[in-house]
Amino acid sequence: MSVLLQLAFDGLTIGLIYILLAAGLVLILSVTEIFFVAYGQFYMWGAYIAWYSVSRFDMPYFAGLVVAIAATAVFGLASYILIFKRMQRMEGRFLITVTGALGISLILSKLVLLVFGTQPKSIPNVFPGAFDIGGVHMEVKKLALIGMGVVVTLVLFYVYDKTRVGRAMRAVALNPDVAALHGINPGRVYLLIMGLGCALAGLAGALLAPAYNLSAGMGDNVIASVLLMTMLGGMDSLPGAVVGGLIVGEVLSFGQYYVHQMNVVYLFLFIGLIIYFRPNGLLGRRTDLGV
Amino acid sequence: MKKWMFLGLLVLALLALPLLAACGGTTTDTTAGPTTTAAGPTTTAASGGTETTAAPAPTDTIKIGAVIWTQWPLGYDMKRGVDVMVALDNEAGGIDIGGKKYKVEFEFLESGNDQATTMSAINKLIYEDKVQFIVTETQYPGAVFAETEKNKVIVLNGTPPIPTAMDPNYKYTFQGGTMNQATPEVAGWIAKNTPEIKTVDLAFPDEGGGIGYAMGVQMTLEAYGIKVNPIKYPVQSTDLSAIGTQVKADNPSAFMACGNSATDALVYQAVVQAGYKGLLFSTTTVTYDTLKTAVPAEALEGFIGGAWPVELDPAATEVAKTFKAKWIEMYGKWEGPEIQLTAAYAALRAALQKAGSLDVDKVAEVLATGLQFEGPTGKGEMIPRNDLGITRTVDNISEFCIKKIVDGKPTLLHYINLEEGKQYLAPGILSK
Repeated sequence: MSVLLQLAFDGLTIGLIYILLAAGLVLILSVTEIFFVAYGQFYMWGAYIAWYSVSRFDMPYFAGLVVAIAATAVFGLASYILIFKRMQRMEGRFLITVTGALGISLILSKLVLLVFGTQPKSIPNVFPGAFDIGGVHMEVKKLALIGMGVVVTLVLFYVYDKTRVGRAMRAVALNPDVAALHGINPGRVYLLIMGLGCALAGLAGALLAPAYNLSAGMGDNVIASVLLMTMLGGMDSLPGAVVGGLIVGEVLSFGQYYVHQMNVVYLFLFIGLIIYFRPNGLLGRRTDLGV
Repeated sequence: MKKWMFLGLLVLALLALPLLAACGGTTTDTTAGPTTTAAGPTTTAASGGTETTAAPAPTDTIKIGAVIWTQWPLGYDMKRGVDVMVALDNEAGGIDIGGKKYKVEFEFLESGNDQATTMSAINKLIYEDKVQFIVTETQYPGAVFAETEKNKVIVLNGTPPIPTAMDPNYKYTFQGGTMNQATPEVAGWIAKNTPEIKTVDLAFPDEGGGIGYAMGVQMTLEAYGIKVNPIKYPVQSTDLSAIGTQVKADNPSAFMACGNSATDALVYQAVVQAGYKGLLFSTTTVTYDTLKTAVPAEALEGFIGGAWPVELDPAATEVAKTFKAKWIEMYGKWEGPEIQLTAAYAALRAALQKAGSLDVDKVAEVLATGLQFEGPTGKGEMIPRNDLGITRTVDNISEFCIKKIVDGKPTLLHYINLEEGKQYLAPGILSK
């Protein structure tokens, strides 16, 4: 029994990190309809920027976290203004924006090697300690990850559902032309979404940095899982991102224990089945990305 | 709009500059004064394996091609490591081949880790640049080796174990990286010197290199009567806590991870966090600095694993010391780079020297008949693969350090020389 609980706890931890990542990607996908495959690199850069702030400038970890969020948000804004804004208006914008995102991904992943080198990095654990409850070994840093993940997710839900900005986001996601008729500037919403989405990626990377380690491949490692989650939960659904994240986290944890490397295969099969019967994912409404 | 477009292009150009400088297109070594191009008496222009009779000249060059994926750490460090070795060779006046010094012109092309780019680079080296010697770490061995064999181009492939590189029909293709047999060497030494080990949980990523390493380790451990429980995990994993839970439940006498350095550190982290109290070993060269990124230092005390001579401080061999100093001179600092694939260049250089000729057939013959060489990864020797039906020496074995973490520092516990290393190889490799 304790093994099952341990696996569930570990799955929850990584699932919540995935939720933050998926939430940002879902926002970008659903509102801007940009298939942002460079998203994993923003997660990686968030982690590296936090590490750099802490190790090179002796910043407290939480200050490094803020720097990482701000920097990735600025990267996101810049990428939209400089690259995607124009691409969005082009015919066949889906493939064009994918190509643009791939270019950004290549540049960012290469830059990290050039700037930070090939060796893995780490931030000293800011949440030391561990304890056992009912045979389940709980690291404080993982509990902190869970706590921060839950708080950020709730704040995000509140902003999206209850605030004027959130309503504007939803309106543009539904129909940008109609939203514009109601006085909402879709361009500004797109900009905001790119900044917010990329900031969430940076936040996830910076949150994860003290718990695991940083390597140049970490962005590539997560993007496939996050895309799977968004497909599972629904590409335009924040609650879907939560459900998808929890399912993927738990499947990977239990799967690794029981079927080892085959866990990814079973995950693909499971998601394939869900999408076969529910093409928009568990909680999604539409998947029209302008393909 | 035009203003934004201009700014966008400007930023993209700025972003692209360091990429072009570091990896885009061709990098030619310029550390050793003027070198001639392929024109005129340059011997590298000869094709089809014929040796030219150019007049002796101090500026003769030999062109060595490289197709490497610099997006992954091992490839990036392979490229940088070979750059260091080429710089050292050129500073010494070049490589002595048949009594004549040849400056090395190192022509690097990015593989992009896709077959089209790789083959385009290989074709450019073969057909445009008339290169006869290539070092690589290709992920597309079938396509690459078919082309190089057809054109009688010698390839030393640095990639971890790839069966394709061991095709008995090949004549010009050799395994250049030293990891093929290094992990079994360490496993053999550990098994022989740690008799309390009865069972081992062995975790490795589910991809070519990881499986290749693990197979060698498992064969060696089992030859010593140790029961091995292999645990595969998907290569793109972030959290490996489930492996820790499993190892704790299995409670083997020892645990070993056998993949790439960053992930190995995460695997050890998971195992330590789960509360496993058994012995921790590594058969690869995951460095102490890398391990520390994920595992608390106190949990690493007594950890035993493999190491290249360069990891230790000071480096364990003179060649490694020189290499390390030059690396620091060129790149500013030493951060434990993964230079194992540079053995491909070390083997090629030694083959050229011993052959005393640029004739590819002579160089291939030297490589195929037990050549010994030395590089920053220690001394190496080409060995046969009788287990695969190959009596020519197409693979290689390397000297290897066994390190132990003592007081937060990797210390040399034992140095495995070539003769000792051969004892640990799986039965059937060296002799039928």
